Amino acid sequence: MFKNTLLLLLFILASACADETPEPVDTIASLRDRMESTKVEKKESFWSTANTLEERQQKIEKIIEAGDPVMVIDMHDMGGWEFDELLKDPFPNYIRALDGKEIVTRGFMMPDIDFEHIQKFHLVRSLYSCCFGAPPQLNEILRVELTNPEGMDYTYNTIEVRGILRVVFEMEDGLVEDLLRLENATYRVLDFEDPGAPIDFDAATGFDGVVPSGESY
Amino acid sequence: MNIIKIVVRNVKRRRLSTSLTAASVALGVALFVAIGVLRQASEQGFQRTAGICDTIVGAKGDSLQLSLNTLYHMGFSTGNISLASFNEIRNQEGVSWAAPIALGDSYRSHRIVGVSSEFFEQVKIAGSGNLSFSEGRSFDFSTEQFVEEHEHLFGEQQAGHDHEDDEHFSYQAVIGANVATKLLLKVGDKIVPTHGVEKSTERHDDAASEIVGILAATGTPIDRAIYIPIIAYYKMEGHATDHEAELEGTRDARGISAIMLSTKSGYYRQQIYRNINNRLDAMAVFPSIEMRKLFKLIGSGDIVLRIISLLVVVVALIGVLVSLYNAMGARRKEFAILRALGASRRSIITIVSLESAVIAFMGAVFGVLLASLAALVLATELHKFSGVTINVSLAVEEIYLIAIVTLAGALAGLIPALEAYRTEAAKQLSSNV
Repeated sequence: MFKNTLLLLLFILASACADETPEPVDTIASLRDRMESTKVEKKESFWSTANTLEERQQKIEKIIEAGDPVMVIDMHDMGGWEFDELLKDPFPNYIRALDGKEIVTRGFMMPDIDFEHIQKFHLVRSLYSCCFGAPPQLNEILRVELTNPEGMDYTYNTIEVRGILRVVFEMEDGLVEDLLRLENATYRVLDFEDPGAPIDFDAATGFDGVVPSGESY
Repeated sequence: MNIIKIVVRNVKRRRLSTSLTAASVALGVALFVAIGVLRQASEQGFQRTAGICDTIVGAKGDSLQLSLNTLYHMGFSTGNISLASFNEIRNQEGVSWAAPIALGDSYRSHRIVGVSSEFFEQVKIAGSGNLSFSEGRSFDFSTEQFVEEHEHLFGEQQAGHDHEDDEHFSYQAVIGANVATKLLLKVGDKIVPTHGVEKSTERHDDAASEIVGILAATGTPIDRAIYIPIIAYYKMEGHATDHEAELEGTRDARGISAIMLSTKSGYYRQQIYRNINNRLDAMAVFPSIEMRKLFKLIGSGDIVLRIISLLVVVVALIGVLVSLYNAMGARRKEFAILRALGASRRSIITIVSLESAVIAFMGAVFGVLLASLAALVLATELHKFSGVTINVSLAVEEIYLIAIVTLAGALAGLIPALEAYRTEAAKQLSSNV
């Protein structure tokens, strides 16, 4: 019994080590077929590459035109316009048109005083830029209010939020209240993917205390 | 035949062995639970204190040192920042309130903190709101008064410290709840600050301060501190007139140790944080993040300790196994009789496994109780040392732990149980005839 098993194992090992049979010479047709079948479908990135304000505006207008019940918008496209707090209505029309729409967007929680059961937080498109680059402007921060009263624990990973966008201009004690707010929001935590960070950036160690390290709290 | 009765009787009969093995399980469980409970509770306690203000500003240096020194009154100051910087920082858009802090003196091991009356009005403790007084009142000395008087003392027009003014200055103090109970101080008593934060004999006899108020307990380091009007720090002999040190550039004797800031969250907080850290003379830190960093650091050691305590539990369970296994020789006759009386082999396995499970259960329960007791004692010590009150409470995880240890005990009992299972009733009984 033991001897038979050993022989069987040796046979399997020998077969695995044996040279593979040479592949037939490719014809142009077979090569084309193989290329078609192995072609990796390029994954469409969530992050917008719009450079100019016009491009951002066009992207938003296109999304509004499409009229999807839930609009997928990168925060990058919602920002970039010049905010003048002296104006009664400082929002460009295409941003104003987003008021009351259900949107899905991605970003990062800005660390604050609490790290557990956070019900309201500020979302920025890039945590890396926020900590090591220029701080986000008023129209580049989204205040998120979660539906779940239990809230969520802090994470430095990318989070996707979905809710009703409110575009509001209010002042309190001479200070501008958050311009973009996401109400009745739900969330899901994704893997760390920061469009503002260098490609080899390691979030677990790279923030070096500017952002609390660790998977999540 | 009642298996439970047999198990209980067997456990009782071998009292010494049972209690020793249960004690070893208890020790491991207690270590495991105490480490976890204390770490979690102390982190919550420290975070509660960190919530006093969202941002601390101090001289460039170590951010953790600045947080620990300003909020927890531990260690030493990172240095001073000038009053001009304080004025620039507090006037930034988005600052809700800014409290200047001066540190460096003590009274019988309790730190003396120079503050303005805004400190008592603005500071909020998570879960209990604003600071309140159990006796007396706050001193009346606002930040504006401080800036004005500081200008008066050290402004460009002034040649230096005018001691004539000091004669009219009334030194007052507000003390934390712990200071009052520990040092048996009451409103109306006088305290004489000593120079430095370590045991020093250099007394500021010129600054004997009358206690005007006692703060209600907060469960934070505020309870262990003594507060005086910040300008008093500059009026004390030898404080702000240390021109030599100033000229050497070692410190700004007329500066302040730190600023507690409350800022509007979101955009403004980030801007303020960035603006301050771009300055050459000051840095801003978020104390809650500093505490996270600290406990993350402690957490690495904590994991090692928890692994060690788990190993203690495993060794203790092996002890249960060995104890039962060694008893098997003497108990073969007992099992043979049970078999002769009609007990199935499965019943024998159940009896031995249950015995092991009962010992493990007793050990786990005792361990959890021991851990609670140890955590309470250690929490009291931590409170004495840091002023941070931690609420030690057991969670549902401890019930899971008891269940897991009991199950592991039952599994450990399987080896002696199988030994008992193999007992040949006829052979055992006949050999003893």
